[in-house]
Amino acid sequence: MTVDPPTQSVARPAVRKRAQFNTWARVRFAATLGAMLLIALSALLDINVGTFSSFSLGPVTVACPLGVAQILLASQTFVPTLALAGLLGLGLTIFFGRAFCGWLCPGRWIFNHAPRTAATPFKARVWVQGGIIAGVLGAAVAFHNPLFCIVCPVGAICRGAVAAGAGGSIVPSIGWLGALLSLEWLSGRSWCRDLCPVGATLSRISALNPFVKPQANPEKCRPCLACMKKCPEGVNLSQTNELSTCTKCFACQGACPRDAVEIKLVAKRER
Amino acid sequence: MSDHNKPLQLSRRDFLRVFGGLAAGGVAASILIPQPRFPRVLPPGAILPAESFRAACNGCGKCVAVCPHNALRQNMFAAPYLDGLSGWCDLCMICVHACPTGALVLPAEPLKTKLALAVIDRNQCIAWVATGCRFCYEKCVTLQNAITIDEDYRPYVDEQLCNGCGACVNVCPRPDKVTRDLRTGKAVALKAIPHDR
Repeated sequence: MTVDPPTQSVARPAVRKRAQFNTWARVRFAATLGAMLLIALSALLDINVGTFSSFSLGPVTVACPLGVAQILLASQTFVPTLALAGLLGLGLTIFFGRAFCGWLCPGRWIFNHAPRTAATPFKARVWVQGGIIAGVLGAAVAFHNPLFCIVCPVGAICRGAVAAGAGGSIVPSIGWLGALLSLEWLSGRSWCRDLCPVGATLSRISALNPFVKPQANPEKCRPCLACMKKCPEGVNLSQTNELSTCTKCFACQGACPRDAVEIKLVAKRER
Repeated sequence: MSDHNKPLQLSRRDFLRVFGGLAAGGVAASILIPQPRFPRVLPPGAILPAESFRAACNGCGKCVAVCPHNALRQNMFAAPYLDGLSGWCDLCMICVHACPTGALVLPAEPLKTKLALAVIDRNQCIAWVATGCRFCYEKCVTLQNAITIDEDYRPYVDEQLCNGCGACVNVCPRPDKVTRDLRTGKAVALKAIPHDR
């Protein structure tokens, strides 16, 4: 171990913090894996649990808000149960924020490995993601078909899990994932941060979410950008309180060398 | 992390690698993935016109997951289909009740649903080529009784009685293998019939 200057020798808990980050990541990976196993097991046992496109627990069904919007726009007919399921998905997103992306989405562990560009400024990303959402919904209207649902990596992986449980082929899922991975690699962007229409939709909705948000304690924080470098969404906690893209993965807490990141259970609304 | 701020640089080789890989993968998939002889047969509740079904289905896979006979599969574009290879449909309509999007609708008379029509390939059928096999006939006698056999034990399908459940495909002893021209070794296949509604 190197000899530190006396001013910085007070706290150097780097080893412990790294262990904490890995613990959260392990818990999140276990949650994702458990959800996938649940989907496959429900297909094996012929139980109506469904997938992340539309998830059922007993009589209650929650559906992906983007998928519901696409279906309603594509079929031009109003199905009350489907709209209710979409509203429930919207409500869950307001309550939990983008926690789905960090805790349940399997794409998190497949994409997002080597983004070759720095994070785009937040405002520019809002416009780009708005354009992506508008393109997805516009394609649904134009072709009378929820086209993105076919390509959607979440849907594709869930279809693969269902096929694995029911005895089908997982080759189509792997094919779609390969195509999307090469798209991500070619664009040089991170899929989850910049390109994913589902993530963009959840980001816009979770602007209303007040719960479980990381905040930098201004007394301890020095803007070293360690949190921003670890954050999959590129959020710089020392500068911004705009946390609608936060996926509640708590990587920032493990990354901070000064223990400055505090998780606020109920955050005050800014602006 | 060292290339965090590096601008995106793509060489022509990168570009060719990605798009060449995608194109080669697509060509290989279209050759290698077995295509059915006839258009895909939709699940029993798909009584809407084909365009409405496609507009309402987001491929969530619930119908595939709940089917107690494993009769349903999803194709590459996430649409569910029934081909009889993995199981056959007894019109229990559990998939219809599981469908969250309204793509599958409960028919007025569920047990009278006509899913498809079974078509026997006389060049593949053991009873037609040689003699002796009565698997599909003996299965169908217990169900719709739509398959009749003549004095030489060769099977015929009654188009009025057949409801396309796929049991004959399921029991056909010909191996379900991919061949170059036929794509499935089964001697009987399900042919989708257009719905009028």
